[in-house]
Amino acid sequence: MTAEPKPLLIRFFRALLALDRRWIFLAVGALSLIFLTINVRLPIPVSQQSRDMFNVITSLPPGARVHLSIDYGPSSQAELWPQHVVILRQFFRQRVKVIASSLWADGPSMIERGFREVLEELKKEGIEPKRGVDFVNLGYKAGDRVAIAKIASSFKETFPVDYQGNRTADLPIMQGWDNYSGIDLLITIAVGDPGATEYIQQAQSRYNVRMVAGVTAVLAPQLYSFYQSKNLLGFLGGLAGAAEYETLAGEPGLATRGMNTQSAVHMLIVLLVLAGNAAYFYLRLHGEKVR
Amino acid sequence: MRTLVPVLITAFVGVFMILKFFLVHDGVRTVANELEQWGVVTLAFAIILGVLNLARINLKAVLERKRDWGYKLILLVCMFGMMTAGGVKWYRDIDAARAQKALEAAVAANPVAEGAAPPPAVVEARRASEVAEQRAKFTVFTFIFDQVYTPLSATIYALLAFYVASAAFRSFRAKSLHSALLLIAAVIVMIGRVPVGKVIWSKFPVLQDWIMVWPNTAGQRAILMGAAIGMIATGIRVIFGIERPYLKG
Amino acid sequence: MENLSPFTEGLGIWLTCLLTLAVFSFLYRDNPIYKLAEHVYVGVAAGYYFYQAFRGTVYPNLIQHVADGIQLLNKGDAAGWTAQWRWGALVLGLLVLSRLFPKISWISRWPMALVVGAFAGLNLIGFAQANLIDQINGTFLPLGGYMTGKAEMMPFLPPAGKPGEASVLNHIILVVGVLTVLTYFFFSAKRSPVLARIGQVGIAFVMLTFGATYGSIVLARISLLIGRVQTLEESNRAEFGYPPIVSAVLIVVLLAVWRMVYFRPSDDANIEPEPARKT
Repeated sequence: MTAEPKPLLIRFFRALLALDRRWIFLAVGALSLIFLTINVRLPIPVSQQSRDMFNVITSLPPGARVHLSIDYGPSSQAELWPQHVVILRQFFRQRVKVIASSLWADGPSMIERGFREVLEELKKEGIEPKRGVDFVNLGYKAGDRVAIAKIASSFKETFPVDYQGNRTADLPIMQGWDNYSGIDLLITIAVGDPGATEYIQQAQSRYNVRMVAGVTAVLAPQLYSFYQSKNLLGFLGGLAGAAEYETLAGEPGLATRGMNTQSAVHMLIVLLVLAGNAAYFYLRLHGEKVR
Repeated sequence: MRTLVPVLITAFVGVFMILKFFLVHDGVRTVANELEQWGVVTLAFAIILGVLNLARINLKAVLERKRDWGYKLILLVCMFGMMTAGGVKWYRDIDAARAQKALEAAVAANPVAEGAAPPPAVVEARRASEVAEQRAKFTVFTFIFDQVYTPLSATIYALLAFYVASAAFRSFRAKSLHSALLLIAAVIVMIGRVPVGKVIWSKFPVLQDWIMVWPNTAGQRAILMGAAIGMIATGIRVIFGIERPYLKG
Repeated sequence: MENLSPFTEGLGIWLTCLLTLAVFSFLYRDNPIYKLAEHVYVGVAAGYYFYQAFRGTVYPNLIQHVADGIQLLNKGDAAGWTAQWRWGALVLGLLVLSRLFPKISWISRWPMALVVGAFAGLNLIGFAQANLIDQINGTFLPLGGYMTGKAEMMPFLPPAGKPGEASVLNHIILVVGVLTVLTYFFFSAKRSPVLARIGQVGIAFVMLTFGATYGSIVLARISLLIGRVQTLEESNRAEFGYPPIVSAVLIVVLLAVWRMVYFRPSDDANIEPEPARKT
């Protein structure tokens, strides 16, 4: 080593690579705060799978039965809650009957929250679906894919009572059907296992039920394969998927609002990756040992 | 006894699950349905086991005044508090259902001519039912789920946002052709999936879409098929008792 | 929420803000405030799960079912007998709990054997149908149909500006991708030069796939943060006294006091933190 000071760029890149990660944390936090308050709305490009999902749901006739499986909890609500409400709103506006259940213990509370908030909103439009007649929360069922297999053979045996403890056999909404042949659309809003893949394996592919899904962005890449093979008629991936759906439904909401921040933080991460690579190659080129 | 019985149980149940798919025989169906119910209940007990185990470990730590026992005491208080709140909610649900039944009975017992005011018994029953329903709707249980559990759960996972940013910066290097491919795909998806991508270059969303729909589908599909082949092999080995995962631990 | 009293609503908002920021304090370093929040989380979650497992599954599918059967029998209806099969589930459930007692814990293998068997049987069928047959069909049918003239015609090249749409070229890429990746998965052990070449193409597809997945993971994680920031922003209301700002100041002050008075460097485990893993 010579005592000669290193060129500025080398010192800069070295400092960059040695940066305490808490500075990055701070940048991420600050960006998300700032961009949430910026009200510029960029157009949201809509992908084919989201459009297909929208069309499938829009084409449901009044009185159609939908099995809505809410397989997520607060941990992923940031991504899935916007999907959940925009779809639920559409169901009720189209007078579709919603049979909701969950394979995640967190689910029933999310279902209740969904019904509570969407019904409150729709009251203003004069839409007042009745519990037990137009919608029902069947609650949580343990058992993972065993539960799905059980649901597929009989809803009423799997869920003898709803979340409030009423006998499902007595509920008007449960009359005249008991398995997937009575369901016009299966939709799961899911964060992981059990979720979309398990429903495809145990219900969709076995009973040929029409199915769509709303999932987190982490799961989305896998669903492209099921979408191409027509197991899924459409799906939404993460908050971006929710924003696309809001665009299609013409009601920008939570997800659309989040897209500015999403854009900004993504740009930051891309810049960081590029800077990291620039530093890495530059230092390597100048004979420095870097990781 | 310790090995043979589980092996037989696994084989029996596994075979019935498969038979149910191929045979439309009522007997097979009935047995398979009942076995599925048993599986569902067993897995619910597994969750209960987990909770009881957590309670036992923490209770022991508190009683023996181990390190951080104060936190563990808080954990136990929260756990039993939530269970109690659940019990209260359950009771209120039953109460609401009872009030609803009473209302229906009152309506049936007091037929009213059209346009006439409902008799006081019905009015009273309706009011009672509404109150009970409100009480069942807004419980401490719901409050804790919405205002304590939700922010905690959501924020703990939101921490990952910071770590994913820092990890991308530190370890994402195009050291070889393959890692360069990975990096390029990731960057295109990151930019193309958000609205700003289209502003930067109108082809970003299109390119992103193409990567997702074709090369990504190819890769994911091969993974799905590989997993299927593995799962079928494992399934057969488990059912025939060659592999015994339940004997571990 | 219109049905909550202002007091309850305010309390909820304050709790939300305090707990959210308490968890975020972990970004500075592990500290007592975060630890407190973490233990509250685990406790509440455990209580909640217990309630859901018991009320959602054990009660209706076991206790109520058997009780209904007994009621039928009391009425002289022999159909009540079939419900009594469910006692088997109770036995298995109790055997699961034998795990709590080390001496007899081996017996918990019986119920686990049932679950494993059920999973194995269901997975065998489910994976074979959805992951294998359906995927093979999805890969080859469109192209096969095109070549034999049995499918709707698709262009060789995707339409200009829409490279993602179905076309012969894209389907060829799909088929090549699936076959090369499978070659890479299953034949990477015995490397003949030809297979190695094919495997190399397969790796390229795998890399593109993982890159796409990585990009999606970033998308997902950032969304989670956005959710929290949105909640904090919505909670920043004058009538409740700006809960997020006051909470932030409070937590910073507490952290500062802790850092200056109580913090010992030996407490700092200095482990690479990995808060929670998500499926």
